[in-house]
Formats: sequence, C-alpha cells, structure tokens
Amino acid sequence: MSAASSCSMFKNSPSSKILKQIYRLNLIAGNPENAYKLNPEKYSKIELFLIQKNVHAQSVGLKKFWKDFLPTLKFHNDDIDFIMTRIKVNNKAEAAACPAKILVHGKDQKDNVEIDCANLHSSKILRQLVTKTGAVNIPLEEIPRIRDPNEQKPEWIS
Amino acid sequence: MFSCTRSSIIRPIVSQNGVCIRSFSSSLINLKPKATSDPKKKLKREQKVKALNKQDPESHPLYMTIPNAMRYLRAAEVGQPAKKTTVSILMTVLPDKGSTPLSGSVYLPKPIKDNHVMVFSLQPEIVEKAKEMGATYAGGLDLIEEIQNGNVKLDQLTHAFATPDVVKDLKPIARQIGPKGLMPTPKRGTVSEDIETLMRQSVGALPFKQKEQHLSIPIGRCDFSDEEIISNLKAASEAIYASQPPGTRKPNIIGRTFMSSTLGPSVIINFKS
Repeated sequence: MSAASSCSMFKNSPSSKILKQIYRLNLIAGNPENAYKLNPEKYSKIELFLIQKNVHAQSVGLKKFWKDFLPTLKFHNDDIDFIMTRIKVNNKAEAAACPAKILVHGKDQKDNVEIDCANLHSSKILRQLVTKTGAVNIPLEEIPRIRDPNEQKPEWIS
Repeated sequence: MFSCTRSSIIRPIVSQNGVCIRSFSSSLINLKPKATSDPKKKLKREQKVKALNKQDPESHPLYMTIPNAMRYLRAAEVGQPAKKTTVSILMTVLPDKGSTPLSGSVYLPKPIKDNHVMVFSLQPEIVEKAKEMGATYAGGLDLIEEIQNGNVKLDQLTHAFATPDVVKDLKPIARQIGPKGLMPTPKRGTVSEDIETLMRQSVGALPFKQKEQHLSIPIGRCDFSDEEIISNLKAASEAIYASQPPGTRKPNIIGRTFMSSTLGPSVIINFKS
C-alpha cells in the first residue's frame, strides 16, 4: 500500500490514492524548516521575476524555490499577495541580461527588500528572504497536519 | 520454494541458512480486483461501494471545510496566472438500473468567464432591457453604423443576439462580425423575439452531464474569495439535486464530492449543505 510510486510529480509520494493526497497536503503545510510567517503589517506583496524559458542556468534556483518553498510560504501568509512575472526573451543576449530576483513590497517604500537570485540554490534564497524580512519561524505544533488513517484504523478502511 | 503464491508476494522467503531470497514477482503493486462473473460477489462489491458513498463526508480523513480547502488550493497554485487556476468539483454518482442520468445547467452567481454580449434590435424597449441585463453593446441601426466605421471593439465579445426585424440590416457588417462568430442567425438559435430568455439561457449558464459514474463541473478560480466560492457551490448543489427527476423510484445516489484545482491536491467537501 505504502510503496512509493515511480512516476510521480512529487518524489517519494505513496501510491495509494488517499495517502498520496495526504502526503501532498502535508507537503504544502510544510515543516518547521521551511514554514515562516512574514509580518503582514509591514509587507503587502511578494513579486518574483523569472525568465519564461524553462531551462536557464542562472534562474534554476529561483524556479526550484517557486516549486519547493513558495506553496508553504503562501499557505502561512494567506493575506500577502504572491505575484509571478515571467519575462519573455527573444535572443541569447537578452536571456543573459534577464534578472532572476524577488521583490518584497513593503507598505512603506523604505521596507522594500530586493533579493538577487541569480546562481543561488533554492534553500539559500529562502534563507536570504527570511533574514532580510525578519520572518518568524512557525513551530511544529502550529502547523496543521493530516494524519495517516492507518494509524487511527477507523471502520471505513476495514 | 520459488512458487509465487499470494502470500509470497508480501513476505520475502528466508531459506534455512538465513539468506533472504525474493522471487522476481515479489512486487508491491496494489492489484486491481479481478473481474468476476459470480453474481453474489458482484452484488457484495456493489453494496460495499454504495455503503462507502453513503457515509458522511466528515468521516473521511481528507474532509475539509471550504475556507480551509481553499487555503490549501491557493497555496498549491501560487505563481500561476489566475486564468489557469480553475477550481472544480467531481462527484461520484451511482446510478440505479433504469435511472436517468443527471443533466441540466447551473447558473453561477459569479461566472468563471466574463461574458460580453451584443444585442441588435430596432425596438427601443428591447434595447433598454438588454442594457439593464448587462449587455456591453445594445442598439439598432446606429450600432451597425458604428461597427462599420470601426468604432466598436469586437475582440472581447462572446455572444451576439438579434431580433428578426434587424437581421436584414446586418448584411453590411457580416464580414466584420462573421469571422468572430458573432453573426446572429436563426440556425444557431441566436435570433429571437424573446431576447430576455435567450440571454438568460446562454449567458452564465454552465451545462453539466453525468458521464458513467462521475459528474464534474468547474466552480470558480483560485483568486475568488471564500464567500464567492461558497455561493457558487450552493447554486451548483441546488441545481444538481434538483436535476433528479421528481418522484422517481430509482434515484441516482450522489456520493462523495471532491474539490480540486488545476495543479492542486484533492480534498473532500460537504456538498449537500
């Protein structure tokens, strides 16, 4: 039942229908390592600038950051807007000059934070975002977690 | 020792000298139950599925309230353009023998796509009524003249209707509105005296139809607020439960309802109330 499926978008997700959804939902809710809350009174929106073409060496880190960490950030910061701006380029020279950055818009102009993500690993981008904005870590008890039904053994599974 | 019985699929075989041997067929694939011709077994299986679908959605481990479910779905769709983040519901419908499949149409209070309607009529009352109902453009010969001059933006329009008296005058602009699919013709059912019902039927209506054991309709987008999603769900719930033919002895059982988005996970919601 709990064997890992080989062809899944999310690595090591179980093959059972219900367990797969539970795994996915818990992945979104995150863990204390990647669950952070920004100050909603200080910041209003986060804007990401990413090249439209999929394979571009400089911005791979930001793309991974979008896939791995952004859903968890959005989950814990529901009142902050997350905007993704994909930049279209026509030739190689434009692609080389294309920025890969995150702009955190503060309610005051002073609070604006800019992070240059070119050639950075996704985990380093998260660390920079946390230190520059002063985001607060969310403890394990406050992260909602859906439990595996096999642990509880209710009637419906029989 | 290497025989592949059902029990050996799960347990590795340990030989006498303690070496663990696993046969090649020892995979952990969850096999689909074999098709059976035994009517007793079939009935038992059907009854089991029925019992599962009749249970309260709250007892399922994936059950969530709608605001909570939308929080997860919004997180899963982060960074995607709003147009691509359609939230849809899928429900299991167990038909009885001889029951008619569910079908009909839903009028969502907050439509997913914006509709822009154009109405042609020579009668001023109909023009006024169309404008009241939210038509983007409505008019008679004056509107036709404006389109001829190129003053009207036709790209965003989705529907066009006309009354029979004005159809003759539409010929000069047929080349402009025809390729965009906006030419009203009796054949397509877009020419009628009763513009009001025409607009109501085709604008904002969402047809649904049961396919075998499933019924699926889009309900909103991730950028809608929780209240908008709930009001849309209520409208859909009323329309779907009302589409059951009244007074039938063999109703379709409407089972579990899942809510999901384009890229998001799927959760169970309480659709009945």
